[in-house]
Amino acid sequence: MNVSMRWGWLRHPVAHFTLIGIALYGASLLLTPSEPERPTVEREPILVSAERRQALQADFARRWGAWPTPEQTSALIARTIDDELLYREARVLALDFEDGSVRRRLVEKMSALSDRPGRDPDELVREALALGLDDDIVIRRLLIEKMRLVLAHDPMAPPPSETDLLDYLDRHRDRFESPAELTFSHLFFSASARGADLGPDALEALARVRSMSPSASAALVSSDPFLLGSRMRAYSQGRLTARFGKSFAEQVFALPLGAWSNPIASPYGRHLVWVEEKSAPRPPELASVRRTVTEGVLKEQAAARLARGMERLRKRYEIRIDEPDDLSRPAATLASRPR
Amino acid sequence: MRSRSLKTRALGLLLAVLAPIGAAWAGPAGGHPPFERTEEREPCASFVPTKQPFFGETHLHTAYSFDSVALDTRNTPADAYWYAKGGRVGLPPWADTRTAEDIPPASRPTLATEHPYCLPGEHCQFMATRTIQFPEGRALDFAAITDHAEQFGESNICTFEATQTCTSDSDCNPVVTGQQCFSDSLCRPNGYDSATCLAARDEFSRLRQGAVASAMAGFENVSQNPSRPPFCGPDGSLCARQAELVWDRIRADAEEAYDRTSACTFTSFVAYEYTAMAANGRCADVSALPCWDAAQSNRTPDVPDTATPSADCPSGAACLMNFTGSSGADNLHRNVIFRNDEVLDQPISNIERPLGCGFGAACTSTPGWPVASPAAMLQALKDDCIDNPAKPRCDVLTIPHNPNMSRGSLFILPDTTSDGLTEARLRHQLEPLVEITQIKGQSECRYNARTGMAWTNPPDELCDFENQGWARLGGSADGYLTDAMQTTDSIPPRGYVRNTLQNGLAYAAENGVNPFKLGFVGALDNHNGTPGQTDAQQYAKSGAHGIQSFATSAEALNERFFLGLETNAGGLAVVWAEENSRDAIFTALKNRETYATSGTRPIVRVFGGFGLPRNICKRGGFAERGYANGVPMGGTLHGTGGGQAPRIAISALMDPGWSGHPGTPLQRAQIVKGWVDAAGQTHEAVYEVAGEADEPAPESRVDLRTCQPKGGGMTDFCTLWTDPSFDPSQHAFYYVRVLENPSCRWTQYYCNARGVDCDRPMGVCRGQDPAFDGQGCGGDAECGGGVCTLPDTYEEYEYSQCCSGLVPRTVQQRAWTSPIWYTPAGAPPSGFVPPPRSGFRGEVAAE
Repeated sequence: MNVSMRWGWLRHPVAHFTLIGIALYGASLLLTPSEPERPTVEREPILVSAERRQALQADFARRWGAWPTPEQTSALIARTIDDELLYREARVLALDFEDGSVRRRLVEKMSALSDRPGRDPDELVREALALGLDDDIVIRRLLIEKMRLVLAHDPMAPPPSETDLLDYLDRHRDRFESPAELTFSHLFFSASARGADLGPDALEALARVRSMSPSASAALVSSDPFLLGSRMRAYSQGRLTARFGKSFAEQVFALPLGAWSNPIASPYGRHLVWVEEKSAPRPPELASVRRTVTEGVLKEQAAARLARGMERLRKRYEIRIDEPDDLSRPAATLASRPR
Repeated sequence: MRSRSLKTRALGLLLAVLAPIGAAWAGPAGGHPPFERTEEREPCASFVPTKQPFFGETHLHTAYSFDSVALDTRNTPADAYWYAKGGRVGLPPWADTRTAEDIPPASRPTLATEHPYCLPGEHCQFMATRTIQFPEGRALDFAAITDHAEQFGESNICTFEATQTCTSDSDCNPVVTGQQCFSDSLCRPNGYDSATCLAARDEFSRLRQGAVASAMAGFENVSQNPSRPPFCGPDGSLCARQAELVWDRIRADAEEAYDRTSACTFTSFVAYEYTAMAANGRCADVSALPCWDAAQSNRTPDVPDTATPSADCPSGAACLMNFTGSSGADNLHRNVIFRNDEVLDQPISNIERPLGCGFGAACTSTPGWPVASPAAMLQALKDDCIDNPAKPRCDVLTIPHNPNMSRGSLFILPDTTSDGLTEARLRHQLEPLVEITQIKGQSECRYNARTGMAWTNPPDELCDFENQGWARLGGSADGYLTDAMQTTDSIPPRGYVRNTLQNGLAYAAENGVNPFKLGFVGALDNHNGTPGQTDAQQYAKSGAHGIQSFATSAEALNERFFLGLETNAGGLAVVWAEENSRDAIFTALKNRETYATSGTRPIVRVFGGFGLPRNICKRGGFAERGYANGVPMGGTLHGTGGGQAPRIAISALMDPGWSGHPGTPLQRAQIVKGWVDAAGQTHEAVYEVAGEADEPAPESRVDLRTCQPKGGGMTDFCTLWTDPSFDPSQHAFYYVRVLENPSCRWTQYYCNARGVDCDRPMGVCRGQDPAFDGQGCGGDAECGGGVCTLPDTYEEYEYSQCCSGLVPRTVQQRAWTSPIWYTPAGAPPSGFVPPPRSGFRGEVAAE
């Protein structure tokens, strides 16, 4: 009895794992040689010379058919610096080591240079590295992309929480919320039916109904029937514009609640409008936009991580720009894809 | 722990806040909506029990159609929906800024190519040089994007744009994606480097005419024995797999575009086009007739198959499969539209269910009878979707289009055997609508003012409107028909909807089921990925078919050109529904409570009934009283009139236009009645019911220089008409045609934009010899009013086209409302009421 109480815990799986863990840690301490001294990393300053700037501008002009504006030049220089930072840091981290795409490129280049076919790819790679063929525009772009991913990605990051999603939804209110909507009644006076009497008829009717509610007034005046009815429910300004034209929609949306308007012209004639209700723009239920919102949050988080990463990199390098005075904060960004 | 409890509390709070809102959503009508809800979504705040009009698109192509991407269209369904909702999209040509060293980012491998691009000023590989956007207030309410399903896989494989680098095949995850690692270290689908795809891409890089795409369609879209190209693998599975990936994208794009919130701003539909074509063979003998027979090989074009004489060829010659050569093809296309997001796992295209003989018909052994029935495809849709217990929410309808280019094959009456009746019921159930107008012409009815040839009896001159000179799709030999060649033999009246409605009526009178009980929608069939883009002025600049309509704008005024003078800016579909949601709009389509417009946006409402109040137009409540005492457009009246003739009430509002572009007032409304007499003979009549039938010259209604309306006509009207010659024993239908005042046709915008002024002399005198060819001149001043020499520059050609009267200057835009049918008392119900499973209450009520 005593024995089982005192040593019973030994049979528990947690104990087994703990013991195994301790044993493995001990073994690793014993077996791993002490870490060798890391070589100190030499980070040369990054220089954007006047020639480089001219080359950038000329490239831009060739591609887009116009010389870049000062803002665009700033953006070009900023991007050049970013690319250089990413590339240098990728080399420091040896992101090219055992990279399939880099290896493939080196083999391709070396086979083109070498006159003996059928050589061992490993040998080709060694030779290419010895010749410095890895300083290559394709490899450069591969490594820049890879470094960008390294900075933007955090595999350990938890999925966005409900609070993150609601917060995002709140900050991007205008993108997600339903438009303001009006519910209104109107008395319609048809241009086709009344011709020249249209204006006077509408004004006369207005004088009669001025202080009455829509339900009471309908019987009092002889307005014309309207195909879409006399009460319009939950019309956004967009829908109102589509049905009655822009000017009508703007005027109706500016009306106060609970009173007859002056006659408002539409393509069909004149309308006296009584706005019953105006709903404020309202946010949607999270469930109906969850996928878009989650994507948005993830994108934001990645962008923030990348920005923080770039900030860290900038601190590690000295950056020199010839004629630096016009490198203000780049005003223009070079967009990649709409939406 | 602490954060979790905080989260729980936040969630609780959220629920508490949402609960009353949820209760408020319980139903704006205070109960169940009058249509079945088959999906989870918020009901619409703007729910109207008496329904409201929604403008939309039911037929449109994007870069997922081989013929679109071959013409350099890069808009995908996602872009098309963006455009439909009012966004700006790009059109070809693209500034291709790719360099040899462009490496795509490895972050997001693509399974189905997405054809990315950017707008001017932005930085990417393909930059749009032209863009297009709806004017404010003209965005669409709903859209179905319908790409050609037969080549989903083939097209996407051949035009694949890689986004993933690799060193070996395993990097590309071939088991899932069907991709392999190509020698440039990029993942692409197997088949990308096949001879067919190489030929297709080679053609894109130089010609952009879509020849390879249409050749491929010639093997895949044909009646019986369609065959996929060899690169799809022996069983076609490679292309089928890629097709599923494309279908997944199409479904995802539709889901993304759909507004499930209570604002109900936009509805998308998952859809595709079934692109079948009939009789695309040609008799080997000199008579060179269109033909088809089941025994022939569909794999080899232009090889005489002498062992099997074809019943279609009078001298007993063989039928040659030669779509790629000089023959045409009867257009038997259908747009297949699903009710909600529960859809087929892959489309049923002509490859899965090719056209065949109608149920119980021996069409291959009957001379001249095309192999043109969709019955097997419709049956498959019914089995795999509507009646499939594994997909309880699945529902679908199909909309045939362009009977005008089917050589009469689209609406061949089913047999009268019991098999034939099964087909008739199938068509009645699955095909409630026809696309009556689109860019390749209208199909209501036909009349040729130049020859006086009429396809209706009596002749209807207003049918001389946006007619095509092409009786069939493709080909040159029997494709274009000049005025003199356009006869009721070369273009059978059966190819027009008015005649087809009468044929359906006669069949129903005899057999109790109407295979062609067709309501109307209009659509575009544009291949630019821009749904609802029907504005004539924009069309004059953008065209409808990618780079072809742009690069060959010199052909825009050439009537013989397939996409030239005789095409138009296309039509729109309008549905009357309670709210802008999939269930509401699909139910309206199914019940035919729809009308078509030739591209403008008048609002038209029609009710028919024996007991419609005589003052229905005088006091308000048109819709309430219409529903209470009759049926809406698309409905059916039964012989319960008690000796009364049916009345038809029509109310309409003109197109309101948009800022700076006023709409065109309405000129008049007509009722077209068709009926069948006791002998089974069909008849038709057109009644003038509102507005002025005798109008002054078009120039007095529209300024041809500015294209602004000059006044006259009606901004709105309402009228009640009673059938003056009603016979309660005769099956009949009534549909309404509302005409606008004349307005500028797109060609007039085109001529104006090019600065062509027909009042000024050309100013160039070429042959300074007055006797020259009867057109010579002594100086430029003598060249007024025409060209003095044969046009040898495009400007002169343009001038002669714009000013000769050959190019129409004005057009009367119009709306056609779905018919209201009358079935005599005692006759079996002309419709097939579907089993109660899906419960279309509107349909049952209307019947």
